Amino acid sequence: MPFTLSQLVTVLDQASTWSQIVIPELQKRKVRVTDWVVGGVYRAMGYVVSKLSVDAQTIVATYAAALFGDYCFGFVQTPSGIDVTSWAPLVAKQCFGVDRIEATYTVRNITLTNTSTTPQGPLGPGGMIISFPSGNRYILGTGAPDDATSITIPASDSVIAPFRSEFANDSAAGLSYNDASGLTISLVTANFPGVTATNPAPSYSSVSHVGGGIGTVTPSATPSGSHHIAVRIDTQGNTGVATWSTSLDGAAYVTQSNASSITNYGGLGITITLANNGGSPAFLAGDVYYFDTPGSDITTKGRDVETPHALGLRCYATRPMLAFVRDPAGNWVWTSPTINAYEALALLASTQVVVALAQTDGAINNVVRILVASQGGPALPAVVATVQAFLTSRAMLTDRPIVATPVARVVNVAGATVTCKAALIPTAKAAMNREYQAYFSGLDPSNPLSVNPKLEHAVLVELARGTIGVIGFTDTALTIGHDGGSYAAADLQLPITPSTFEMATWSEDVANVFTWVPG
Amino acid sequence: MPDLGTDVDAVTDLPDPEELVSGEANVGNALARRLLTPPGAYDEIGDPEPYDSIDIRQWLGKRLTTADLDDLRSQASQVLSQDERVATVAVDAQLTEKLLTLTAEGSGSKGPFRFVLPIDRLTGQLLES
Repeated sequence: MPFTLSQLVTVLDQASTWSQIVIPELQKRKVRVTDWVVGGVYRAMGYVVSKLSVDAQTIVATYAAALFGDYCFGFVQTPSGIDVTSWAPLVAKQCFGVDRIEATYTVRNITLTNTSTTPQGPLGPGGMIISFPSGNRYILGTGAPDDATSITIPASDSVIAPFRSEFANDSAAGLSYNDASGLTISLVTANFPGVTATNPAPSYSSVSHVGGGIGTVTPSATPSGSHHIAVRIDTQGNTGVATWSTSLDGAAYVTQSNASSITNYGGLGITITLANNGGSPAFLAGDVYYFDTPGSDITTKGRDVETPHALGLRCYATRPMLAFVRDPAGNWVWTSPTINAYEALALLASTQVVVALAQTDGAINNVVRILVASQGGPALPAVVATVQAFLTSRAMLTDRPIVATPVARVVNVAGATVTCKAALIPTAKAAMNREYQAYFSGLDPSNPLSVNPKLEHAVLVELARGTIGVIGFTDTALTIGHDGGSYAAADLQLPITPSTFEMATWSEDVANVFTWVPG
Repeated sequence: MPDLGTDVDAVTDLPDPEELVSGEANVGNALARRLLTPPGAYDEIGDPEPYDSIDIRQWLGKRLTTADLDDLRSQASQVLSQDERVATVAVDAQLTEKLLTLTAEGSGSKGPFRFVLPIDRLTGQLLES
């Protein structure tokens, strides 16, 4: 009788194999050995056979389980608990034609200032290494396979150069490169006298444009707060003729009529100016311009390697996308994808997208809002533009996908007392930080957070209690707050600002916000 | 009379064809195996019962002092006493130019016993038991 799937993927432990397989087989064969004292020959041979049997069962169970997406993508645990998620990339490629997204470097622009009268350079990739206060190190260059970075730091002047993180992102190993702008940077390579490195954040990011018009949109003046702004051209024309609208932090577009510029946009001190840039018509209907305030020195947000769970979701999402119709000429015609398909397409559009959420607009017919975020925070304007262009190019007949990124909501934790084995306190603190960071960043496959998540008190307690070395945790004393206040011993549901899209960001250290007691 | 058990007649290797041995000879083999099995070997195959053993061949091929022989005697006595069929045991170790001979005397469930385990010093080969 053929084995059932349950039998194939179930692995007995050695003791069970000994008692359920080996001994009954020996009894059936009526062996005359009666010395079963430890050290006996037949007893030893029996344990060797049972050990080999367990190895063989594990091999069979691994191969059988890996054939099923739910097991290899980690959606369901195998009956015997063996982990076949390492097969996920192979199954994704072979069965779905989907490549796993690999880990990437964080790349940022560093300002190198030379106070000496001797120029330094030319320097190529790897020619300089800098270090941030966090201990994170960055290396001159972009990290791209065809990196052709070459800079000379002029005498008594400065130059902006790309630096990539020393390693690709790996949150589990503590390799996260979310250093802020405006920090004190030291040079690791010390043979550049007179040269200092800084990473100032500009008031505005560069403007990312989706569409074919050559007119420009430029933000200026002194802004307040952190915001994402989108400028959409509604009717074509030159400045003063073209009508346009603005969206603040993903909210609905508000018309600006045919103004050439506006000041104090949203009461935030932002001036937005349109210029023809030699075009006529300079601005084309449907074009969108994205920018953030403040800007960032980061040009590419690094990400972890795609988890088996996330890879599996993308694989399964390809199935709804297969249901397209053909036109009379036999060509595939894009129709309205499912929500899952939109999210999968957004994840495909850019490796910097690790969170995607699609929702139909509650008020405007045909509008589908696609929220995208990068690892640890909102997506850069250039990423939003990339995803928008990717979806726009598919010219869907009925849908109007509008891409935006959520606003970062700072989340805080406090109040708890952690009892931990004394010798394990340092490693426990580091491990708990990694677990909390993964959870708030949406990287925890057991508790994946998306846009406007509910931050669960019970999950934070579970993560804390599950940290190696922790032997006690004051559950009810743990509080969750936002923006440094509003603490409560309860779940926290985002958004805090109604009718917006928010994502949680957390940058605390449990060593400081919890009380640690040796036990 | 207590049964001292029947097992494969093996000390350092399996017989081919398979032969069984019973009684005092079986216990003698079992005690000899405790002196020729590296510590932890039974943990590696997953046997959950504790099993004390030494491999006296590890003492060979080097210069042995009086203190080394005393240590060997002590360890050998300790591991042999772990067999449930042994009540008391004392091990003597004598080293000649090319031969290390262990002599175990004691009492078990069937009365007093004595066995001799000679091992060639240069090759670590069990000559006879």
